[in-house]
Amino acid sequence: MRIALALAILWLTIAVEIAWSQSLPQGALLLPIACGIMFWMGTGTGILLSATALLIDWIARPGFLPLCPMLLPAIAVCLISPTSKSDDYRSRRQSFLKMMTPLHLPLFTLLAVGLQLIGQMNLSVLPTLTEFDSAVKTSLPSLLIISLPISAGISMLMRLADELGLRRASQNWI
Amino acid sequence: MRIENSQHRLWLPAITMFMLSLVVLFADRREMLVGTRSALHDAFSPGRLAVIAMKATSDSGVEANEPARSLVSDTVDANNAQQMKALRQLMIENARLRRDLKRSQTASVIAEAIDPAESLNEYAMIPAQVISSNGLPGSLRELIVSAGKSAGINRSELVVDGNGAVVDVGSDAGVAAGDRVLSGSSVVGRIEKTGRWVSVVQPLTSIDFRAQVQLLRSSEDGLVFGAIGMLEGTGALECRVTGIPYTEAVTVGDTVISADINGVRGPRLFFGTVTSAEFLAGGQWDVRIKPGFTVAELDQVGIVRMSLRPETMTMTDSKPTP
Repeated sequence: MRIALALAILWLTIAVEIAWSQSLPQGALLLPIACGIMFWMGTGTGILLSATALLIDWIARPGFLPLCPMLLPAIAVCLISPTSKSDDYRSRRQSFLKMMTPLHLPLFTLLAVGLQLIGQMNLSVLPTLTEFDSAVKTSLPSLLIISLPISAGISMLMRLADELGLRRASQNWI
Repeated sequence: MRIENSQHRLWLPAITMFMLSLVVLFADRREMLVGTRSALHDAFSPGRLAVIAMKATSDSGVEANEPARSLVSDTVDANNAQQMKALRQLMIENARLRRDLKRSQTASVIAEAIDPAESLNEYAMIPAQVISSNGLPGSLRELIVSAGKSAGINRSELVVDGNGAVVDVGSDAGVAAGDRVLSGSSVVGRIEKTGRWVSVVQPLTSIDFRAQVQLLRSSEDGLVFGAIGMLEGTGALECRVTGIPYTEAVTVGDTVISADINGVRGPRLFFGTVTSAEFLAGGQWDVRIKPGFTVAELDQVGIVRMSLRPETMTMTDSKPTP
């Protein structure tokens, strides 16, 4: 059921992006939603589904390199895989990474946006600093202005779902 | 131990996706994904069309509410003044268009008289939106547009840019009716493959693109139609025209227009401008063309469809009564 729902959300997101391709920058919706699904499900299936959606989107609207489907799953695994290190409960100290957990998803989305931008640049010839600067100045704000609020919304939704017990215990803020 | 197993299970899809992405990248560079790309766009089309339909419904709702809102707004007078100004400009433009249409109709009548076969055909332009363009600027390989078999699109139909860029010679340049120079749009490419809702366009810079073209030159005596040749894509930003013997005159700056549309004489469409012309050893010109469209501007295109005029079909259907 969850897999079907994730598939439907990803399919609809790509369809919306293609329908509004004139006004929405590529990946503005798909990147935060794919990242959100990876974190929400927190399983291999979630990673596989999201990365496949990113790859399908790249096939449909190709850039220079499919960096997002290539690298995002590996980065996601580093962030969501369970750790064997436990917190020091006696001193009530949490690890820095654990304290930053609510920010993982927005930061991960930021990284995905960066990869998307790099992947769309023509890297067959080394881009000059001005080219890179203009790409960042033109594409990055329009991507971030949509993707970061969505990512923050999903992050809050996950927190709420955790509080209400709507997510399985094993997936709580992994 | 359990945690390690769990970590391994997470790494497996990540590595799989990395490898799969590499395979896809390799296939894309080998141009093996043309069919897959159009199939994928077709698969997304029901959702895309539903979104467009929802947007159109909400837009019409907003438009219906707008008059009521404008009644209560304080800036009614200012808006009215602006509207009146816009109306006046539209009226002037309308008058100009009527004049151009009249001239064009006269030109068409003369053209039909010269070429009776043309009167059998009718050309229509089906608008389409560019959904995806494959390749980076300078190496455009293919385009995917939002019109397919459901819109009656067939293979090999010409695709022109949606901005309606006209040949750089028209009534303003002193071209009179009967000169058989019809204003036309810039050719972008040709339909290579059609899906149900989307079509793949082969740009005219593509290495497999071929079209019969004619040179057009403006001289002191007016416009002169030049040699007919075959336009071929080079895979780069420019195209070349072959088959023009060295006895023909070719000048840098000549306009390149369509000689025919799929073998039938039709409206003259703009292909580009001659940027260089050199003699080849085989007694031919090597003519290089700069296409008339810019990749960055391609978001709306039109597909030129040729069909028989309905009235001519009625005439063929009618049988003499005994």
